[in-house]
Amino acid sequence: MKAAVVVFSGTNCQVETKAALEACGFEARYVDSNTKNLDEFDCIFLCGGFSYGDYLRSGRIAKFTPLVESLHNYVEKQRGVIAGICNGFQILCEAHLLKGALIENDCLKFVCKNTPLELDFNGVKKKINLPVAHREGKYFYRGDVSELVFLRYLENPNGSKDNIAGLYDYKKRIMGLMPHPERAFFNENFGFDGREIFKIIKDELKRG
Amino acid sequence: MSLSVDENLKKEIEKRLKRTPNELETHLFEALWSEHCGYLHSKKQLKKLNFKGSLFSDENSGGVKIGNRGVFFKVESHNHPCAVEPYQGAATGIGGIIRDILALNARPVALLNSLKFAYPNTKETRHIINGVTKGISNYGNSCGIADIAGEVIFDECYKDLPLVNVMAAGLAPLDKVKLSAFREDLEVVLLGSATGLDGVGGAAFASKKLAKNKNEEKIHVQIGDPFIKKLLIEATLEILDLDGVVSCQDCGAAGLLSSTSEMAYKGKCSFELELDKVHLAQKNIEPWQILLSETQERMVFALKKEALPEVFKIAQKYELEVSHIGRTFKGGDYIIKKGSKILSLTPLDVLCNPYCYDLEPVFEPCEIKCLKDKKCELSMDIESAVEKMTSSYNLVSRKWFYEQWDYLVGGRSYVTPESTGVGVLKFEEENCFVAFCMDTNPLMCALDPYLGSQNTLLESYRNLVSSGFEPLGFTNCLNFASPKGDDTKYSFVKSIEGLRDCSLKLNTPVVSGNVSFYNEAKDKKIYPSVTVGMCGFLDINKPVIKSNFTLQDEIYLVGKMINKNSNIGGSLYQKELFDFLGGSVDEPDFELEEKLKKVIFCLRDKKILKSAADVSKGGVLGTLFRLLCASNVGFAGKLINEENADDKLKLRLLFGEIQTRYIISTRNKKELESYFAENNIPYLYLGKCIGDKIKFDGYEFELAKLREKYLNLLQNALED
Repeated sequence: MKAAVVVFSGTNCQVETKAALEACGFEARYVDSNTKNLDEFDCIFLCGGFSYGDYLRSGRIAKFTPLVESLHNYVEKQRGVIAGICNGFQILCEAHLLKGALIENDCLKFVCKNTPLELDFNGVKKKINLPVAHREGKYFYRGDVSELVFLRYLENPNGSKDNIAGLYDYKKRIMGLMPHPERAFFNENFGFDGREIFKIIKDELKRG
Repeated sequence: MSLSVDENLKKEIEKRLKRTPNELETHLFEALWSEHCGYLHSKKQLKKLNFKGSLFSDENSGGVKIGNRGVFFKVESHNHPCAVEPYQGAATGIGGIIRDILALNARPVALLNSLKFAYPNTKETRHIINGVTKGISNYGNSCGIADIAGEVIFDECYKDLPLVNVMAAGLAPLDKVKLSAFREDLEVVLLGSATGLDGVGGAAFASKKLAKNKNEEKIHVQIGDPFIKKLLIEATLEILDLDGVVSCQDCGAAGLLSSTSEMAYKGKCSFELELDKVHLAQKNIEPWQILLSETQERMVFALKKEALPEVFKIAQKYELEVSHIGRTFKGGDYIIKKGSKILSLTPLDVLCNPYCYDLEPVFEPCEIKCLKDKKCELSMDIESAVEKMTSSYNLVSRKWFYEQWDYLVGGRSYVTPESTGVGVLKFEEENCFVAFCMDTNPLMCALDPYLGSQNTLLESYRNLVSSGFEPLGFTNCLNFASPKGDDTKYSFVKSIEGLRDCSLKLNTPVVSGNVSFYNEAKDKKIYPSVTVGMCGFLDINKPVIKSNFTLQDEIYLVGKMINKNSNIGGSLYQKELFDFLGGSVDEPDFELEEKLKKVIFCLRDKKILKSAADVSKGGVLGTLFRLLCASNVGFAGKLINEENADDKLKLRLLFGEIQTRYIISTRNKKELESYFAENNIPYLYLGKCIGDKIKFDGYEFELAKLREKYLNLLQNALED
């Protein structure tokens, strides 16, 4: 399985994300913001960081890159799975590939800590812990998205609506989450629960 | 000459130059002969430090060797800017120290900070604390460099005079390291942000006391851009990997002037700068302003002509501005040209070799001597003392701070903050862990700068040892008041001698450092604040020792034992409970220090050791309180080891601070005690982790209540 790890100017979690993907058996490769065709990849990873400095607001400038345009094509062709972590989630929302928006945390501060979450996948609920690290991570949407949610905070760190930490699109081919699964992957001090998220992606891919 | 260079220096400049400097040159000298750039008062003293074993002593940063790589680290102060503009001050402090590491072709991988503030009781102080914390957060986080550890100290001496010392660490293969000296016949290139008026005169500003009106000083503060910094990091590392690129330095204090003149001076060649070529952010900027602008996010490179196209290509790839600003050749002059006109030609050995003051001989001023002779006769009942000490801003969790800093980005961070006394990174490239920590002990340095600075270095040493790391080297930031004062002269000289002697005894070199003078305002000075940042090594196959407890752990104190005659001068409890500072400071016992290091490593390898922490601020009870609250477990035992002690003596035994002590825990009491007996190790059994109360010698405290304060005191104080 081939995975693309997207590196915008200002992205900074690409190394860990690529390492986690490789540990899961993916053949992972970096692609930059000018990439016009993503068809060779089975999944596309948008990872954490501050693309374009998060200027204007997070994800706003990345939205206008050729890469994001090719993401839309990729979705139309129903080619594979797209996952956005943290800044990647913000970009997917900003590009309207996922519903809702991520706005400034209620505490108005950057929050970096390990957070308990409830993972809800295919009707099986499970408690996991993942680190969060963001200042614009408060999920907001005016309508009801509850059927799309797969990850909720048990101790809401940012004021997200309905404790939403991660959700799908309707076809379950695009997913976004604020916590960093790649940071809870290699080291017992931060746990290994991140592997659960990568497993879901693999399962989704197998489903075809 | 006008401006702020003092009369004697003016004469010295004219004498050496053999003429009167023109207006432009007056600006150049004002900057380069300032304390901040020229280290006028500290240069001679700094030579005393022990650099043996350090990679470089005269580069942007020094470091230590691990395998085939260098670990480079350095601390820098940004005190003055943070006093007037906390957010930008802290952000650009981070920016500056990152560039120092980067200039060596080392990828910056960790940040640490040592912050000192007044108690957060006033709006002004809270503004400073919030601004500094946010500045570090916004800048460091978006550069993608993990902020892994540090310290925060509160004392009223830092009112309006905050100290913001930031440290960066980076990693580079030794054969890829680039130095800063120019060579003859190279092209010089400036990469990064366009030069503007921000921070003009910053070096001179940092070299004097703060003016009363902070708004007037704001113009001297630089403005950072972490996104450009991120691009600059990637572009610089790519450029420095090119064969034709010879040397590199960042533009920090006194901007382009300071970096290019130092590079030329070190390289013993002439440099000709073409002002018209420098890419500018605005029109109507004077030549001296171009030279002295402290616009952030700029690097200078010297390279062979053939490498120019490749460098421009990399700049373009990262969408960074770049200009070819001059060249080097045989000689020894600094030449500034505008068009075909030469604006200034000065010999580098005058420009870059400022007059240095001799601080010695020094004598102990009576203020310090009198303090040492004072005795703390005050007392308080233990319940009230515990209540007060556990509400001390200096002893509670730093969660409010570190949760705003991304300590995980980069994939190297190995431990959570407060689970050990240090920040730990995994260096798989060399099969090891590397740890860093920062420490300061202003109270002890105020009483006895010689012993105080030794004890500060040893606190860092014990922080590393208690986490299982072999100390390799240290950096330092010397924050003092004006070097014109006799007390400061004395403290400064003695602090350096303390660091030198301790470093020789521990066989651990200083690798880099920074001096910040003039941390004083009208009628007010900071305590001498010697900040140490240390680096340690651990084999990847060995465990990092944690400091936290779990229920059923047996707790021991190992090392020097405190008694009624111990020297406990500079103990935090005397300051916090009685606002008292006085008495003699405890002397280090280097032999025991070395022995305990072996004991801890050996107990770890025998798997008898469960946790370890050094005993520092707050003494045994202060340290135990922190560990129990962080671990969320109760304790029952005996801490007072003297019969019929009155409250005054009890306070001394519980909270008094002496050197060379660790609190360790085990599940294997028998083996531990027989090991201690066999090896003749001084120890004391303290008690066991049990229940939900902290009980000792007939006293009892609710853990939940203490823990609530421990976790939330700072948040409540700072977010109100």
